[in-house]
Amino acid sequence: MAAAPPILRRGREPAALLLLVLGVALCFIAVSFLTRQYKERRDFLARSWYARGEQALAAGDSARAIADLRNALAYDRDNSDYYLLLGEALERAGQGAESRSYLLGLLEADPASGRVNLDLARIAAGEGAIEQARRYYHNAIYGFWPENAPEQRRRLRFELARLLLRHKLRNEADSELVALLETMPRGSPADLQAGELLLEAGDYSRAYEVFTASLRSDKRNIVALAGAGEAAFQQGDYRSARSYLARAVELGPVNTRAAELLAAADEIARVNPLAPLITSAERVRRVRQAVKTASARIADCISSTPRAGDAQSASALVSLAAQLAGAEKQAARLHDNPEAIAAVLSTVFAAEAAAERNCGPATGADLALLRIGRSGEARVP
Amino acid sequence: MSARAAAAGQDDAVLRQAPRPLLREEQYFLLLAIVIGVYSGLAVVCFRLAIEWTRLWMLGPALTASPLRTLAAPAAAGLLVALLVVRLFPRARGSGVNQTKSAVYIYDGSIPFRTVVGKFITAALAIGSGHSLGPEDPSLQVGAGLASAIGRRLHLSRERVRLIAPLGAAAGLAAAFNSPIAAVLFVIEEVIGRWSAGVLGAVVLSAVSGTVVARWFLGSEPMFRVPAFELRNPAELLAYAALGVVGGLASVVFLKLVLGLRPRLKALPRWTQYLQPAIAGLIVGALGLFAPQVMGAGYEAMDQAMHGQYSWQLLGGLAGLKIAATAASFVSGTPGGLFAPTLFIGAMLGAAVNGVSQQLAPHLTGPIGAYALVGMGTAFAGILRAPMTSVFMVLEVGGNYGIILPVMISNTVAYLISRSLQRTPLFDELSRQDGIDLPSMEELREERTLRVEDAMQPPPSPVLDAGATVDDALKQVAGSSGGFFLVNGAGAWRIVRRPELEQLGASGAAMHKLHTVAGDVLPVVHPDHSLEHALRMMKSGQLLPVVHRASVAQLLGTVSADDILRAYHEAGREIGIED
Repeated sequence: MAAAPPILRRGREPAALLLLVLGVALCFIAVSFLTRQYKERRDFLARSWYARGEQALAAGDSARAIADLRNALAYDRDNSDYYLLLGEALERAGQGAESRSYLLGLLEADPASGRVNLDLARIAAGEGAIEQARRYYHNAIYGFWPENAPEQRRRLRFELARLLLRHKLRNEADSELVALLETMPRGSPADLQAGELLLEAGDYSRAYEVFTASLRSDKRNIVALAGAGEAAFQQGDYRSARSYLARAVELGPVNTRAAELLAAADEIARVNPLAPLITSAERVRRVRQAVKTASARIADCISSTPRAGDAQSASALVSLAAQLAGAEKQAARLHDNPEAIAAVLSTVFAAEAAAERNCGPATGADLALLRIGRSGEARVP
Repeated sequence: MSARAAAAGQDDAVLRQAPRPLLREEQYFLLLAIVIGVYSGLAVVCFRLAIEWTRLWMLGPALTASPLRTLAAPAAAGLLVALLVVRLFPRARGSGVNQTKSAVYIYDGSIPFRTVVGKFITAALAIGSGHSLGPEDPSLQVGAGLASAIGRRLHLSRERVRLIAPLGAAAGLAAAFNSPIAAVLFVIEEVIGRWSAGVLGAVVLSAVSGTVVARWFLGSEPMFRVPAFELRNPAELLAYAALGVVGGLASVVFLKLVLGLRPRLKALPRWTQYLQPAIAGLIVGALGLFAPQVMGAGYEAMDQAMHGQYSWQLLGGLAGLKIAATAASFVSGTPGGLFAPTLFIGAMLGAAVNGVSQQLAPHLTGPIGAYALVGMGTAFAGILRAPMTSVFMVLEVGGNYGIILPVMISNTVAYLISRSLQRTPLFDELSRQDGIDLPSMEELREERTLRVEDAMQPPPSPVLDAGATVDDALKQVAGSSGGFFLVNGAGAWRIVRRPELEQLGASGAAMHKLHTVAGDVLPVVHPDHSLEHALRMMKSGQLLPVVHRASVAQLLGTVSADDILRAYHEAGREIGIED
């Protein structure tokens, strides 16, 4: 069998190799120069389009921003800032699915990125996927932030807590707020925000602690006074509530919520038959007044169509009306008789609660009696 | 001493004095493969830069050009390209794959350097100006052309130049595609047509060095940002099968359009060749006014489709428009490739199928990026009919082995549909339209290999023992009508003919042992050996014993040259070739 022809004649390989390597070196230099020129041009174009996109987004023109940022990305596909801004622009333009797709790509490359997780969390929140949003928020909170990480994390906890509260997930929001409080120095302005969210989450005792702690460092802090007042009010501590709320209203500009709560607390103080430090005669007068108020409410409720509309509720209302009528007749026996007072008031509170259940929310003195009935003060001193 | 002997002696002396080669021949070839890969990679980097600069210059820096530029740029570039192709670079026409195959099979691997320059300039102009063509196939031809030029410059033998062109092709494709595995597979599937250990190593080295160079200069980021893939439910495979059907049918539409229009345009008067690319450019520009995504290679649009930017209706529309735009550009003779448009069509169809699937079964449908990626492979299998490349390309681009099952299902369905509705593959039909009969790689792949078992005859009876005497042998064969007998001596097979035995018996050698009187030991074959192998083992007029692989002493049959010829004739009749 004939041998394959040699590739090169003997002795020519070194020269040929040298020439080829020299050629490669020269070509490398030339191509490097061309590539650098090209990359500089691309970088310039990318930056220009990105700047335009940023401006458009700041001006609220999401569509324009999306087009500009896409142009920027065509020249710099590796720039995660461009993707993030495009993701935000898409999110603002209501194109969450596409935004998510880009961000998931970024997340795959950098799963610990706080900003990418945050953007994904916001998209999920916008779509109502709260559980998913919560997961991304947590990833963002525990993720990497290049600057001012503790502050970023606190901000995100607040954002997540607000989201959860918007979706009536009070327990979950409360957990976030508790975790948040552990990372915050006491007495900071953020403390008050946390207290307000705790109020919204229904964690009144912790909110009270936060506000009173804040008041220890600044007794004239109106927000803390109003918050402490509301927290006390919601816990049924109307005396403390009146005290805080009155100071809040006195010190600051009109705070509608505080003023309303103060008015309610005043009304409670006015009608409360269980208030301490009142004379026996006054207590009996208030009990009799409470019976009258409840009787009138029940009578109104019976005369109007009961909301529940069933016979059982109607007969319960009639029975309560009869019990109230009986209590009115026993008014003479209430002096210095805490058991009798308690029994009568028990009927009054039951009547107010039944009226609210069947005939809608109470107002004025009825509401005050209802609150007294539900509060921890509903016992004869 | 004669003059000739003296000259030979001088030659020997010169050879003895010549320095020993630095490298062995195989090593030198591998080194050349690396160098060719580097040169091809550098050329492809320049080609990509040229396309980008042309695009910036002609269409402007935004992804969507102004209407005037959209309409005018491809038409104007078409005029210039036509002038260059008709006047200066006639062999730069087309995608580049067939031209490279022609070089390998017809011109001994020779591709004129002028063609390389022409392809570089005209394809960069066409693609950069928005013609619906891709840079991969031209890169393949540029790489092959450079390799061929280096081979000729180094005065390599014809055989080596023929081998070296595919090395450049693989490097060029790998550099353009940023996928060395897919490039190697494509060159082997479509250009070389067979797996050969000698070439494979060099092709791989060349492709890898081409990719490394391209990544060095252009960055190593993948071509697409593929979102994470997950197969939500095995039932989702039905959607991928549906994608295979859609992709297969779309492939057939594209193939019929291209293969139907091309000969008609070629048949027009020669002067129209100056106008055809410009008219195609106008058509592409007009389509680009409504859907700018269809212009150029379309990688950005593919990326956006992968990230759910388009509705499924728009995606379907884009696939349709891309088929029209690519057919217009390609049949007009504008130089440029079909890889990128094929991937574009597939990506859009894949994403569209995902959109429909989302509507029908949202809980069973995976991410859109996975469908777009699988769609690319599907269109590749349906249009370019390179099934292995299509699967590995998706794996390489996607970087996720989990996608293999959907890819295989979808690609197979598309490939089968395309084959059944368009019998001749695209590249084969294009070469036939050009009057060239290049070997069909698909036919080669599917050609049945005839084996010894297809030709062998039952063993002759009786089989004689090598230790028996001639006299014993004559007694054993007395009842047999056979003309020859095989003699077995512990797996060493010999042949003895009846007249020889009878002559030995009559001449007083009756007590001689058979192994001393029978012929030489015969080479043996096994039933699964190819007939080509059997022929190589066979001396003229010889008959070979066919023995068991686990026991050479066990005779299964015999095969002769006549048997082999008969088997080939029968196989020919099976595929319609009559005597």
